[in-house]
Amino acid sequence: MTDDLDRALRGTLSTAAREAPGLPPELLERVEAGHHRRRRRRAAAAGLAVAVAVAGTGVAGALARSADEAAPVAADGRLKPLSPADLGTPVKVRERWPDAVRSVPGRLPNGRELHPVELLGDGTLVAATWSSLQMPDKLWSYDLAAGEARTITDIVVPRGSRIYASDFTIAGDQVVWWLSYRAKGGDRVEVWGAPLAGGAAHKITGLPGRDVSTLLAEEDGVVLATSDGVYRAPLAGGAAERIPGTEGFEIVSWPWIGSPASLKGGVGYIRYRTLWNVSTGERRKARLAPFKGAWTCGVTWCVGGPASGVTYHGDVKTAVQRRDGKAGRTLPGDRVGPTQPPIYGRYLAYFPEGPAKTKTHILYDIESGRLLDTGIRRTHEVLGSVRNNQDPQYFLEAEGGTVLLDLSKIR
Amino acid sequence: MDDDGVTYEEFVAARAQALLRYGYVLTGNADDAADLLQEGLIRLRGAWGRVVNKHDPEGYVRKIMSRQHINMWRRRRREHLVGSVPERHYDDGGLERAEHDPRLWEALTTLPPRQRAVLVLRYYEDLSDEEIAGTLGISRGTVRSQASRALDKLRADWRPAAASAAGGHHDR
Repeated sequence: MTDDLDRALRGTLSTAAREAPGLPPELLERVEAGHHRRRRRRAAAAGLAVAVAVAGTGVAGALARSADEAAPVAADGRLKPLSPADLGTPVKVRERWPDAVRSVPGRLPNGRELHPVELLGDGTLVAATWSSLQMPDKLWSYDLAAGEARTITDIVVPRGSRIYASDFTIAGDQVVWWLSYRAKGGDRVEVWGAPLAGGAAHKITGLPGRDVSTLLAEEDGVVLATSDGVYRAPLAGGAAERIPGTEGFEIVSWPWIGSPASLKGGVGYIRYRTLWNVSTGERRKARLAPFKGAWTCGVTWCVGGPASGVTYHGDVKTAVQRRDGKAGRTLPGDRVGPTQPPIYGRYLAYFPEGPAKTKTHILYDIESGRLLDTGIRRTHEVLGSVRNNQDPQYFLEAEGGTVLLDLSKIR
Repeated sequence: MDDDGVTYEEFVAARAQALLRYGYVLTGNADDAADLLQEGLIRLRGAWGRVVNKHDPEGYVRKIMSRQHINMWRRRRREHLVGSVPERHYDDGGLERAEHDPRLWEALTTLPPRQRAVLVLRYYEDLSDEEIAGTLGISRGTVRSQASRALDKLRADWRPAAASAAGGHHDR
């Protein structure tokens, strides 16, 4: 009886959830209004309007421009509107590149829930377990073929933790992460590591600050970006040194860094308009077609969507264009999800049937212009680009377990 | 999904609908769900830079929604919480459909919000008792007692759909 009731409760709740109503169209405005009411005492509160396209909020009219917008950039090319016929039928990823989609266990043999970090080439899944919400307690190395898991390390949680161990990254024969905590004299962030073969966690470096926006590995070191710039530290441990001139830059695709990095910009704004290769010193600027929204650029491709601080009445399409102004186009259909750099440098989440009816994760391949159907069922989420743009592995929670989408296997 | 480093706007665009669904199973009706979501998002908006783990804004909002749901109820009259049975769309898989029980959904509306929240967190969110305790800010013992009281109440009032469909009288 208990099992029946358990099962019925699960079924009833998840069915009810699927039948929940759509978002109230004025929700975001009400949230902004509520937020500003509560912040009224701060006279100079920044007026960041939530200019996001939410499924089903169709509105009509003209576009209101914000006061401090950047001037639209002159460009060589124009944006060519594409029709659904131009995109064609999605290519089935699982059939064409069977290695690109695979399931991985969602739990350890002992039943603990896993939060995957990376599937290594030898079939070992590196993953974390959590002791409580978002608080990783251990890293595991799970040999999928043998079905055996062992602990890589116990994660140290400092007193006064602000942000628990985050952004686990494989760096050579180590796995590294960062965390932040409150300390006397101000907040600190630290990078920690542990040998993949197993062993105690140790501190690699530390610096003042609250947050690390990107942590990644290079040959003998780690690279981390904070709001103050981009830092390097030796993997063996030692002081983090800021790369001169990197203030205001964010890592786009290492060793390329970009500026401006702010998400707030009006019509014509280009996030990462300037690119700088910190290895070679090369700099590149984006020159894009006029567009009634804002852009976010990767190394080669830029993606256009609604500008923040702007109220749109009427649809804003998703635009893509090469950084040099070539091959510009707008995609058919309503824009869904945030404007962010292309996933893995060349893909965009796309919804041929609209966000409600598109049941699987579908990508638009900007390079080839074709649609790719991953066959992975969506649970209402939108695929986004990860912190490290060169990381091809996406772990998705799906019905019946965790699915790995490996974009490097799509060719 | 690994979507670390999202902005507030990105987060809202990607997750608002899922959070509304959560609010819906928590409260049982669309208006309260929208209110809860709005409250959660306003608080998140104010706390965006401070959320202890920025990597889990969703957990933060769900926690606020769960606690708010319980507190809200303390100030409200009970009739506000009686929800309607969601309209059925018969385009789901047969198995899932068979597992949906409108009478159980209705019976859930008779539970006090804390008991309902515990069941939602356990059966919809799949959280452990410890995680539920953390989310609701109550002890693990309270989670267990609330869950068992809620289940007892539902069990007294509920028969498996198969049994009642086979001719059993469902006495409510």
